[in-house]
Amino acid sequence: MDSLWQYIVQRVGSTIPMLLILITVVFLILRVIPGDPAQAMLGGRNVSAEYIEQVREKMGLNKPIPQQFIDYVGGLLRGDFGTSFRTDRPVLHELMLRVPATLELAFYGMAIALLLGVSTGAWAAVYSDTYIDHGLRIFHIGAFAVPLFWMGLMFQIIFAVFLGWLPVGNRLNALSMATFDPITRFYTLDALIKGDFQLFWEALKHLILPALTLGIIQAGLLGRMTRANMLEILDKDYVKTARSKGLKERFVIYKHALRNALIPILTVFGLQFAILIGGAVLTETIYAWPGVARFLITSVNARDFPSIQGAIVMIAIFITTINLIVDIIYAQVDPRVKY
Amino acid sequence: MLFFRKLFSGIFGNLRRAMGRQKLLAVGTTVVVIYLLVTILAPWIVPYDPVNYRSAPRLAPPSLAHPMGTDQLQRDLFSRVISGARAPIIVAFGSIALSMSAGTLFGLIAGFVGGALDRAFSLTMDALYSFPSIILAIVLVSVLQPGVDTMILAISVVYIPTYFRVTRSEVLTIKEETFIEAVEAMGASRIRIIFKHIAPNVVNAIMAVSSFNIADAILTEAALAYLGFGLPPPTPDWGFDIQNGQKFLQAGYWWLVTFPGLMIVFLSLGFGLVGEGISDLLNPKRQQQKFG
Repeated sequence: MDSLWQYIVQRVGSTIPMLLILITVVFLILRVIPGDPAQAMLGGRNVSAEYIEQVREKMGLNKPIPQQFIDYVGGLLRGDFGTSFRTDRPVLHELMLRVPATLELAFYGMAIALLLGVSTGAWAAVYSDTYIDHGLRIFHIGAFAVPLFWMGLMFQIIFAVFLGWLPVGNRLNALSMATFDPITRFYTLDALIKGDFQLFWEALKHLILPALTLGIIQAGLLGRMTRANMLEILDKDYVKTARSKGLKERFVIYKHALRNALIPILTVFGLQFAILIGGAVLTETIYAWPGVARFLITSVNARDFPSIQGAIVMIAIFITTINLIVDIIYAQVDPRVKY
Repeated sequence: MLFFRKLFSGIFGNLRRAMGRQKLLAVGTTVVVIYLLVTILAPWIVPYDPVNYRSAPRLAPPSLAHPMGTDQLQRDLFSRVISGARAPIIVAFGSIALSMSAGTLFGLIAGFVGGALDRAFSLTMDALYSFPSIILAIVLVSVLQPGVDTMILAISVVYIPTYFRVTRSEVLTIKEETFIEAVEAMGASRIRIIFKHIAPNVVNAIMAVSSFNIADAILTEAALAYLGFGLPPPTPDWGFDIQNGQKFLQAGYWWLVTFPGLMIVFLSLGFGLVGEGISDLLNPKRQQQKFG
């Protein structure tokens, strides 16, 4: 176990510079490219020069850039993400209200992606070079040629507008939203904790379309990978051995082949998660989903620089953490990884 | 320069020979060529002016006179959709050209020089690579003036790490080959070795990546335009037209969103198929690339 801990410490150590680089890049883009962020934020508005000067003072923009950077990183370490320009509340507070919404959506989206991707990929490999395989491969290639936002809108037209089966957006109906008292802010979880199954079903219904939109794109990528890995493994000697032992074909495929085909997929999970969060920007916009990604877009539109910066740092933290966890799990699952 | 000559002869020479053997490539190339022709000929094919014609019925469903319907400003959607190919295609090609140049250059230098420089480059590129590309692009667009050059710049930054990684890993292998040792022994300068002897051997790997990236860049451009960070209106642009159509979606005006979207799907599918074809040709036992 000692060496595992060493490995974990070492991986955490290499995550920090990565995070620092992302924070630096975003800092440079938001504070240096616009020249004067205070001017950029207030430019279009009818405010006096003194007020702009005040804002500059308050945000520490009159200090030299390196000093500003040190102050910002120091603030982050203390959990101070700055103050939102739009709402005048701490950015971290604004973010924490929205993090559960994004994570809940990401969780269900990823679940759909894994379910759909792995099953269609494995299926295509087992029936390789038949019509089933061709059909599924077209689905895999097609899934990431379709713009995510367009697919989301199409789902909305079909299932919400024409068929009326599912809601158009948001996390709950307006009425439930007003009376709902959240605990964890993961609404499906909250509903279960309260034992309110009607509410659970309502929250789930609101999740189906956004999660499906997010999941299908990922399913295409995962499906391709699963298929390629499965094809390789089905050709391996140990699979032939398993078959010649007289094991049932289903057993061979699930127990011997699929399990091993899934290991390499774990390595791209971190990357997949990043793509998923990128997709969340669009999904949350389409379905009026009150998450971090939508907060980023509204902040960009309002030119609320502290909030933009905070949202991106939060997303960077999500992604580096997931990558870290994936690496550690991978080291556990694959005995060939030395640590 | 040999690098560019090889790049171009590689693209066109290989393409002609390959089309015969590769159905995916043939289909993909056909789709792309049709789009390029339509884009170039758009001003002559459109039945109505995409921006200034405003005498169609308001929000009319598809009909013979207006095959894709009309929008709330009484414009012909078919004309807008046909003209809308221009922006995404220019932005996609421009940004890929830019990121290819920068990414390849950084990759060549980092891979060849090695040491601390390589580590610094690799760490930065890995950090950018791990971050959702569209968010990076949104942040860049938000601080710059909206326009074609901003879009090209923002999207190109997203793909630099991809080219950097591909080039660098190729360079690391090629660097160890005997022919490099030989030219080194003959006293060739480092710059000469990098650009004359290593760069041409990286071309194949870059080519396969680039057509996938163009497909992806088209989606990114559309997504940025949809979110309202694209070209200023009334320039016809699919992403922007979809955003406009979304406002009327709940009232059942499906055509405003459907047709521009289908145009994006086929174009990005076309480039995707070209990428599949090229990859299959170049390395039959190919590795997974990043598409997102």
